[in-house]
Amino acid sequence: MRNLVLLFLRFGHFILFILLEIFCLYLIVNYNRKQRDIWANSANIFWGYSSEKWNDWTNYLSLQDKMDELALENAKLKEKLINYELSPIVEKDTLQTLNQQYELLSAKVASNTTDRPNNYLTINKGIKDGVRKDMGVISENGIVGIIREVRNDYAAVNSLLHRRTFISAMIKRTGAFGELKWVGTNPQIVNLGSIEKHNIVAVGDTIVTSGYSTHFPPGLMIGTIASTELPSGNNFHNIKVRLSNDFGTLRYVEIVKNRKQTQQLELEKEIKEK
Amino acid sequence: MNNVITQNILRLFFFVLVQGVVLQQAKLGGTFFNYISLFIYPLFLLLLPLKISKIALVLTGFGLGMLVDGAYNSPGVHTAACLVVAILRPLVLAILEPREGYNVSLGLTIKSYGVLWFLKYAGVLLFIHLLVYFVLEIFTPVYAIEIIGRTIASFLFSLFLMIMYMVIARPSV
Repeated sequence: MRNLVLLFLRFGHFILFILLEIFCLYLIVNYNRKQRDIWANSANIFWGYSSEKWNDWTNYLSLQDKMDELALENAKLKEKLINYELSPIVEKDTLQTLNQQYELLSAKVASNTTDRPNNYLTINKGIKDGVRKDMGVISENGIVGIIREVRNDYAAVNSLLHRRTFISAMIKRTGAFGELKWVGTNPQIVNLGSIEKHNIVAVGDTIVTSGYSTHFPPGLMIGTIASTELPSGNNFHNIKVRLSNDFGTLRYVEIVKNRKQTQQLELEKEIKEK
Repeated sequence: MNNVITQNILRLFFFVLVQGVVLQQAKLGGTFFNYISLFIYPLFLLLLPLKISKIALVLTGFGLGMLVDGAYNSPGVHTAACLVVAILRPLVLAILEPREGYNVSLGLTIKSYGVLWFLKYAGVLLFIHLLVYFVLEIFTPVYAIEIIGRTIASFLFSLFLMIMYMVIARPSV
């Protein structure tokens, strides 16, 4: 109590000053027309602005969840589309789901390189999600690569920008097919080999997956032809393809599970051995 | 002692009357340069006796502001400025204390401590008073330039007016 009295003796004038100033401000914003209008307006602006910022912030915090959700939804939709295009006409309405050959699983890119001679990605899905070696990996802009190693929670992907990744591709317009190979310099350009010289090739032609390999369903976008030449005495076109995928900005990818992959591989192996 | 109280009460009514009747109407800059407002009444707070208690000073500031606000019909605006001057006066006095200290029997006037000291003392507190006043009067940062312009213009003319008062009336307490 004594301390309180001392405190008031010492700072009483200051406390009084604060109280009277608050009273003055109250008078100013209540009994002066101009100041009242300005006050009311500013308060509106302030609260409007604050709640807007707060909403932005909370939205931002939940952005990650929303993105994961969307990626999942995307994978499901694309899965349906691919299987729809594959199934013969008669089956289209009823037996679709039973016949579904490809299943897509969305995954997040954990790490990624584009500047090495052999580039890998790590993705956050692994054995426990059903990911296996040799599955294809795609993104919304085109194909990404092939699963090379799988651990429990993560998988390593041989990116298309890896000199040992060969992907069977075809020119959409003519159906001529060849093999994609990266030469290890420009992360936007890959070479398309084995297109024989009788095929007509034009700059700008779309390159898609052929579907002859077990990694990818047919018809997935890869890129467009950037340049082509036919060196004299050569049986094959020398084609450079500009990739539709920007490997530097990959965030979400989808893993293609091919239910009939083992069947096809076994069959092919058998034939080779004979 | 009685003389001091009477003097201050008379001065209070004189300043409030002059401020409310004459200076409120004075448009020194005309309608085109409406930046100059003349203020005399803060001088009342400056000339209060040195030994007045801090609480009494704050209360007096509040009362003076209320009187002027009554004349200006602007509740709270002048009062808020007066309160700031009242709370800062002891601080400014402490900073400006002459080497030989203050003489309790003398008033805080030009006669006691010289023109230069009085200019500093009145200048600092008047400027603060005007700044607070115009901030609260205009009340929006949109017109920050106008706030500063009005403060400076009014400051120069009001300070001159106060010096004139000090020279002509020659108050000793």
